[in-house]
Amino acid sequence: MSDNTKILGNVGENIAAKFLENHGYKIIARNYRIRSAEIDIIAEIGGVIVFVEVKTRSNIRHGSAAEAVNFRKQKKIIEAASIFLQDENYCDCACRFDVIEIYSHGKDFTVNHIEDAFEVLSEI
Amino acid sequence: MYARTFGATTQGVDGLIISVEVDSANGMPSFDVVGLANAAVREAKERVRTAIKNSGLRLRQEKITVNLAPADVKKESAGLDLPIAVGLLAAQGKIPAAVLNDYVLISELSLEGKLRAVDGVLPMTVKARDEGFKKIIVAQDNINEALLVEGVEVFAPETLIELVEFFQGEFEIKPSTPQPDADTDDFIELIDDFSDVQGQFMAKRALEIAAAGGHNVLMVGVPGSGKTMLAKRVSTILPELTHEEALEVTKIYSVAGKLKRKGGLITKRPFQNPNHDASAAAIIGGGVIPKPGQVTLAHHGVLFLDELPEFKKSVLEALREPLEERQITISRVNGTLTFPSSMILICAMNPCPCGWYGDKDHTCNCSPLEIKKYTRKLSGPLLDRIDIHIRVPRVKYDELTSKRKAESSAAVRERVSAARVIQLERLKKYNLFCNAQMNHAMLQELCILTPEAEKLLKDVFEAKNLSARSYDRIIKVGRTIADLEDGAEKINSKHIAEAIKLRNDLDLDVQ
Repeated sequence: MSDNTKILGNVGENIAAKFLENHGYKIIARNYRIRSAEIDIIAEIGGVIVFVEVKTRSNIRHGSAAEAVNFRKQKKIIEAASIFLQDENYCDCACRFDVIEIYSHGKDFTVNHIEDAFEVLSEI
Repeated sequence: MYARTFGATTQGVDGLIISVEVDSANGMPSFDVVGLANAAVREAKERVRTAIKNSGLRLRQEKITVNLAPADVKKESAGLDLPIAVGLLAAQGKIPAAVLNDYVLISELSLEGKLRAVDGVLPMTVKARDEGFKKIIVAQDNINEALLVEGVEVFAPETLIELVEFFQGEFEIKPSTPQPDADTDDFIELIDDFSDVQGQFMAKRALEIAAAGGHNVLMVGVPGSGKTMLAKRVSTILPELTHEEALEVTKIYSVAGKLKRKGGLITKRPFQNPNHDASAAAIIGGGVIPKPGQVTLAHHGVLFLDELPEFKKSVLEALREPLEERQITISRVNGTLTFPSSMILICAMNPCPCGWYGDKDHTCNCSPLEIKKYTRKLSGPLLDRIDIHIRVPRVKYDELTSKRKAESSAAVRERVSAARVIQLERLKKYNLFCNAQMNHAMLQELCILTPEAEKLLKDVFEAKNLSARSYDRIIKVGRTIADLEDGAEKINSKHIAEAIKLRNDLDLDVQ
């Protein structure tokens, strides 16, 4: 990962956090890491725990930001989320997986919040 | 929260009520369907979720579990979409769960939230009524089918949201009445009539006897003699279906998905003529979850096998059970199902590969070996199950061009129906309806021969080395011939003589 994309990513995550706070979310944690996965933002609204994956793009040459949250990425987020819920004793509360897309146009940014972006797929 | 609704699926030609349990609770958001659902049912979750969303309702993202009970039966009906959707809405508190216990919901959902017709509604509705349900919800195209069942109220909302508001008590749906625009059962075009066939008096007489007694027929004849034409017209001389028979036939067609949308009761006798490359599974039924085959689709009607020796040997042998038992039992890993198959089998074949063996004016250029090979496929046991064997010769020019119109189907049907009434009366205590169904023990009691007839039969039996089954068949056909003659009490030598004449398989190489 080049330094540039890393900076862009951090900028994006900050914008997303602010965006969520502006919309009434309470940020519980940021960059929650387990061994193999990371959740960008964990927030709470109305008793629902929201796990947010933030994707920032400066162009759509490589597909849209949300498209980058593929099945493998989803599985990692879900894994991290279930560990978070157990560790923090949130076991029996409602939760949700969101994706926030951020597109940068020079100094401006557009934010697109996708609620309920994905869910746990059973292995039956 | 937990909620329960009732849906239905089919099992063979019967319905099965499925209890759909839905639980929606906090936890990682997911949507699981358990309880041996096939692909069509598992995909229901995508249709259900989208249909609910497009109906303007919002689902909370929760951990959703759907259980289809009984859990050990494979479910294969897309008609479970609606009970799952309604159960889910009830589990999330959008519908009062208590009202749902009285209803059986049978419908597929479109993505925009409309109810769609499914197959097998008739047997499912019958089962629902038998289990004490009084209210059925189906798609509008299934109204006529569901209404064939007496003692239930049928409700047919157009969309899911209408139904939700109905359950909430905010929208009224009146019990449905039969749809007027139902053009019923013209899936078989029966404009054919017996009078279309000129000449062939012998063959027509044989088919009349077959229709009267429910006997199977094998017609052997040169190409172009009218075998196919005759066979196609047999269902026109059969008596009308009774209401019970019509219901049974409609049930089968409903399960097989061959009922027209908005279609109601099938009132015409089925006629099936599978092509000779059909597989055994297509003829007798089969599949991972067994589906009815041609013998079952021909239930209470006619199964016509043209070019009999061209059928696969395995297919012909598989016919033995349905012919003898009038039902077919199909065993698969997933279960054993029994389908009814009470039909008249009509077969047609050429006497030899070139077709002209036995014709006066053409030379047959087949070698004896070729003829033997051609007829070898028809095993003795199969031919023994066919009561009537006839030769269909070429039509003579005079007969073909005769201006005199041949007898119409209606006239023949009258005689056939009269003979059937006599049989029904005689066989009532055995719960049978035609002579072909009698077993050996009944023959002793019900088919009394005059002494001359007895002697004639004895002579022929000894001269031709007939089998015991052949003997029974001749008596049965004789009984039918007597019934056609105003129900003569005893079978006389004339009847037996004609019955023997109708078994001229004795010169086929296979006996």
